[in-house]
Amino acid sequence: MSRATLPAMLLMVFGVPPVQAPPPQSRPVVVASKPFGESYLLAEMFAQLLEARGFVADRRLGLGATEIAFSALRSNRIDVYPEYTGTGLLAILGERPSPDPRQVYRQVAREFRARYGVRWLPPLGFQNTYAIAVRRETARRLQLRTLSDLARVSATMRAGLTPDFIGRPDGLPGLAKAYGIHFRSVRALLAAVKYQALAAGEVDVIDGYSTDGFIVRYDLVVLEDDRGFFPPYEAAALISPAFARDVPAGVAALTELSGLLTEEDLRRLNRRIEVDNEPIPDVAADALRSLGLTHAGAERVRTVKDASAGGVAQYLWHQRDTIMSLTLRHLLLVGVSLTGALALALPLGLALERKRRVAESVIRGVGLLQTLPSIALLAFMIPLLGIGVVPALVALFLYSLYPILRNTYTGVRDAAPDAVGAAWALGMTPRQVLRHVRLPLAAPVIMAGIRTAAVINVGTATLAAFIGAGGLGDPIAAGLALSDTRMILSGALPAALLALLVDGALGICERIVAPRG
Amino acid sequence: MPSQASTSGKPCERGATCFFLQFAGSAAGMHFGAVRPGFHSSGRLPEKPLATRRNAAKGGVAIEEKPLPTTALSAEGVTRRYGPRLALDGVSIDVGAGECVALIGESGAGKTTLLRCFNRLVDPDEGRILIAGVDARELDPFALRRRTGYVPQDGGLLPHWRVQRNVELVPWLRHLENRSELALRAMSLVGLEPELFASRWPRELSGGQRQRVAVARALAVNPGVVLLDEPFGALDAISRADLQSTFLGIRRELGVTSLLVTHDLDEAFLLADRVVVMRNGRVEQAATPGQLREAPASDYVRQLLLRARVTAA
Repeated sequence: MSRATLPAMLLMVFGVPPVQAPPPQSRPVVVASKPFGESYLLAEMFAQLLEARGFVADRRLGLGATEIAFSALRSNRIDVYPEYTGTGLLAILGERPSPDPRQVYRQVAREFRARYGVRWLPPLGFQNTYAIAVRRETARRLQLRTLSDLARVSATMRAGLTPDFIGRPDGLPGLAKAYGIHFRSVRALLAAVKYQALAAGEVDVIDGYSTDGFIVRYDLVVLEDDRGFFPPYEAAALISPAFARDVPAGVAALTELSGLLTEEDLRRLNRRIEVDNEPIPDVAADALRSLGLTHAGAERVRTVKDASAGGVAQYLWHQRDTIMSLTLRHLLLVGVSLTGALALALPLGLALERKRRVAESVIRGVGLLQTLPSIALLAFMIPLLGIGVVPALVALFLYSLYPILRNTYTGVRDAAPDAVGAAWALGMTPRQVLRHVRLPLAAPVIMAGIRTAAVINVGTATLAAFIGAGGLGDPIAAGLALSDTRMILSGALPAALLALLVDGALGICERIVAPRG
Repeated sequence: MPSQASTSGKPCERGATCFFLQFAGSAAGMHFGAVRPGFHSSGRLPEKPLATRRNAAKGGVAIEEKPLPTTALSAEGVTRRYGPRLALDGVSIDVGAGECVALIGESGAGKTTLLRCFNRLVDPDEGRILIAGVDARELDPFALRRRTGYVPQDGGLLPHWRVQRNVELVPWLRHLENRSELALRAMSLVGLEPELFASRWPRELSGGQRQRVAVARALAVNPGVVLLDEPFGALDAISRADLQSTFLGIRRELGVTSLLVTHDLDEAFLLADRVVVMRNGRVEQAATPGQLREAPASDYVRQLLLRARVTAA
């Protein structure tokens, strides 16, 4: 408390924010979240609470999915992120669901410590379970109040469900078994478009979360889980082994939040970030203050522009500094990974032209990399490379190899066979044939491969946000999570522009290297 | 001299060296003056007859003032297999220095395979190839090719090089300093005015002009041997006749040893001193056009003559 008062007094006396929070007591604490609104909010609250208690917080918000966040935590790449006991039980431990929240918490706390050395802090106080929701009009017309009611009419209903929910055992498959619910059709929809699709009548029923702000905004009816199918999803902070070992005081600081938040609180807070599009740090600061965990003035003083006003253009203008630095980061990711891919794929393509017997199998092998889902590849690399820029670069590098390799090999192999034959017959050495005939004649095809790789790379690099590498994917991921179109556009527009620019620049290179004639 | 000879950048090997000296002389002759035709160390090479040194009164090209580089070729019992297929089956032929011999036969008879033995694009499985009396296997293939003219059917011009650069290809590979001089001369020789054609791209030329460039490229270093693989086969009748007469004129001027693959008996009779009829990888008959007409050695040759309607004469 006294630590928090000094900067506050400085602020009062001098009217300027203190340059620095109290001196750090330990190494920075890496705070992460998964890519949806509530997770961002809770992580930001963790971070601000830690900062108010004199720790340095390093934010890595919006990590891809449960596998990525947990894999990063387990390998000590991040220190803490908010997780739900039900998810821990079903998705991570792969255990059978149980209806009793206390029992579930005890089970995950015990198992996580035993299996992974990971600690669950005492729950924050609220549950965020799956909520099957319909439009109020639908509920009235079909007399729907519970999931049993829904089962009665499910054959006529079109469902829009998150891909996650469609796949996991505590999602649609379990629901179908427990209630006998079989929808007329099931479409996979991301969180950001689900509510809009429901409101627009494209689908009749969706899966949401019980604390979603959208449920209020779209005036939806949440159907009661009358058979107690959904397991308890109590929110709690998940603590990495290294955090518990290195910064016990930081862990203790985070326990201050335990038991303080109600479902009502979260619905209100989520509404502010998801519906009113208030900046998450502001909402988090308000929440900590109203819980009595920080004092007015103790939160980091911000110069947040009023983001909720104005159109897209104005928003982009306000965010121009952020967008510029994100664009530079994006360009760095693309530039480094593409250069690396060029350095490997070009010589390899040329070498394979001389070893045609193995060429096809090598190229097909590299092509297989292309078929790996990017999230899976990223999750797979976390234990090896951690999170952040390095695994993102490796993934982008791997995805760029194939187009360059394939085009280099094919271009060089198929370059003007009669010219190659004549050059050979008149005494060129293989190296001369390659350098003076095959390579210049293949240049347009090779450049086409490089351009393909570059454009794919600019697009794929937006996924780097999911492993905390930054770039223009950050506002896209956050915007999708918060259903904030302007935020999505502030990442998507520059990314599209960047793709065009990169392609155009390479087009100019192509004209320079391509042979005339 | 030896430095002049080793142009491939690769170390020359035993027999190759003396071959280099022999041929370097012929190429260098154009700028180093006359070279004694018998200049070689091994004494293994036969004294070559000088090429027919005719004065081309019309051409005005000054190449024929020097001893003309000519080389005798021969194949001795050459066999070559591609997998189970026998492309050449014990073939023996002789091409005298300065002579033009046509290889004729159907597709798959082994003509092109035999032709390609003479610049080591193909090496025989059995038998041997002699070039100016030297076993081809003792010659560095790259140096050999740079001293052997080659004209493929499709021209094989490098599409990203202008005409002059294409013609300069072999002088450039041999690091000759007067490459542009050689290229312009060769272009004049085949009837392409350098001012008009030197800076054109291959795609800006007609098929006939492209073949002329290919012939000029083959002759730019005044090689001892030129190998032509159906050089005029893809041209229309008029262009073909034009090129054939150009080629006859060049042969008269240079007396270069020529081996010509064709499936056109008329062309063979017109251009060649002797004709070798090939069938299924063997030599059916080797004779002058006159002997062939008068005494076909087999029914196959007779049929060939009948089909080409050249027997009547």
